[in-house]
Amino acid sequence: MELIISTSSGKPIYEQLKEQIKDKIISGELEPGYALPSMRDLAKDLKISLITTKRAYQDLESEGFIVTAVGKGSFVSSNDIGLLSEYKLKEMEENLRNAVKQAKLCKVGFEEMSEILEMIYREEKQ
Amino acid sequence: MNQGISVKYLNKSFGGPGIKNICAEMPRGYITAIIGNNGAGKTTLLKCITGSYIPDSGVVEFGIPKRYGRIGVVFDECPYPPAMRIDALSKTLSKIFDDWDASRFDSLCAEYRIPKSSKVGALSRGARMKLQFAVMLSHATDYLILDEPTSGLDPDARDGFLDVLRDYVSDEEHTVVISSHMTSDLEKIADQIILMIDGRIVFCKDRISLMEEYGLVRNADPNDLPEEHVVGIVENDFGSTALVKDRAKLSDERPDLLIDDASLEDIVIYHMRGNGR
Amino acid sequence: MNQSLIALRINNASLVCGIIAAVSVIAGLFIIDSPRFVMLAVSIPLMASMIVITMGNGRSMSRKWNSFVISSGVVRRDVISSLFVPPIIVYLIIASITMAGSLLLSGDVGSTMLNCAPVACIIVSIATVFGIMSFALSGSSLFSDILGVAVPILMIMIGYCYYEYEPAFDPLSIVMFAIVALITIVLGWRMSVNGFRRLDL
Repeated sequence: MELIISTSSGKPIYEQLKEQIKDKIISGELEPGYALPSMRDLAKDLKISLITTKRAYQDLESEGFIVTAVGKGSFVSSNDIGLLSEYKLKEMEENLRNAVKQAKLCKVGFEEMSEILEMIYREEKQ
Repeated sequence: MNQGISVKYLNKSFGGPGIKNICAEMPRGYITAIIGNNGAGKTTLLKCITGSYIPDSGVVEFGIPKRYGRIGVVFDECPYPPAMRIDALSKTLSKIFDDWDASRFDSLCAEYRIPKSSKVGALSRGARMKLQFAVMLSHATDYLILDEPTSGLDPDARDGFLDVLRDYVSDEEHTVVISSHMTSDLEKIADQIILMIDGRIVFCKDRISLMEEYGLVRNADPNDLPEEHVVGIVENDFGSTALVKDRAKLSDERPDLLIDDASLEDIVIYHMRGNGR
Repeated sequence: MNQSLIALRINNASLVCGIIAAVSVIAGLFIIDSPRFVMLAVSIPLMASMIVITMGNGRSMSRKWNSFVISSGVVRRDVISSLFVPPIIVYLIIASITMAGSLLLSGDVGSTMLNCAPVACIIVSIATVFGIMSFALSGSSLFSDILGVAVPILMIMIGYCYYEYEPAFDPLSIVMFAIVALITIVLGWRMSVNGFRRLDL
């Protein structure tokens, strides 16, 4: 599992970890039942604090993405992926809402906004 | 009991200020960094923990009881006799520690480029520090206590040590307590941070709790911020930046304020410099 | 046996030799009809320098090294502070016996005791020099250590020779001292650094 941490991104490391793992689960790269590296091993490999990996895994568990069995490890949960992607959808909605607010501030109309959206959608690589 | 080191109401002074009513938990499996300026009492606290000082009052409790020779120590001054050769030191230590791993010590000395035939006193400051590390890692330990171990080391060596410490706690059986005045060490390895100022503990928190508690308000107007939230203000050419605490509550009270994340270094520096103005 | 540990033990032994030497000289002062001011002039610096050298060795070893062994959980602080007490008690007992012996058995034995002093000086100086060269635990400089040893010895030798003190270096005194020195070195040995290994945390 490849994870990239940026210390200069401003986003707390545990959040970066969380998001990346979530993305991989939603995209199917990590399938239900997949055994994640232990919190300690992850901390060791990425050279970060155990507190950070622990927090990331805790959050992922409380959001239903993974399950942690004491002594056994952490695994991708078999919850309906559809349910989990709702989190991501909600995020997207939030972002769109903010974009619309900004558009209105700049007095950009719906038509113009759709054009820009289309352009960006095509540009954005998968 | 978190199985690490527990300090309760520790007091120790030598006529001067000393340390007062220190309460802290240093959990097992974690690296706790004690940070503070010179004279803050870090060394005094560490010496009370190791038993070099007997506290005036209070207790130090060990989750895993202190067993013979099972504490690794690094001081800012190398404690081995200056005229002793490195190979003689190894022999001496083998008589002191039950499980002295001479081959491990040899390979560490080779790695740190410490010649076996040198005398302790002939080594450079950095090499003497590395020697202490080599000793510390060559006998089985439950705890590592380090007092300013990275001062005097070049950045490469410092990085190497921090890696070693991280490895050491990775099985969650060991506990590390390290004191430093170098805030740059914090980001790399501290799981929990204790800030000491003038003999008292200002906070003892894990890194995520700290980041959730504290924030920076840039372009702050000192008169505009509620006093109880302001930890310290630093002025520069572009205005003032304030470190605030309980940022969640402040954010509710003042949604107009933009509160940025503060780095561990920021948190410590603002406490030490700002003085809650 | 580790060379450095040997030196540690001899350093401890030199303390007792120094005390005995000084006490012998003082005892001699009151028993023998000899130029007292000479005896006084050499005994006090001798005693002072021997004690200072050995304590100096002990102290600078104590501070940092003991801090290391205490912190490592090898021995408790209160125990290690008391480690110097048994040897000093033993040494004082031996010194008292020496002094009492001189007082009670004045005359030949008294003068014999006095004659022990230069031999004691020689043994102490050898021990200290050995200690300095193989394992300089002392934080003080080599120069001051040697000075501390050499000057009193020179003074005592000069005093003896100048006043033509007869029984200097007679065989009986050398044998007596060798026995006393041997006993004290062995006792010092047993009491010294490695002894703490047997004391529980």
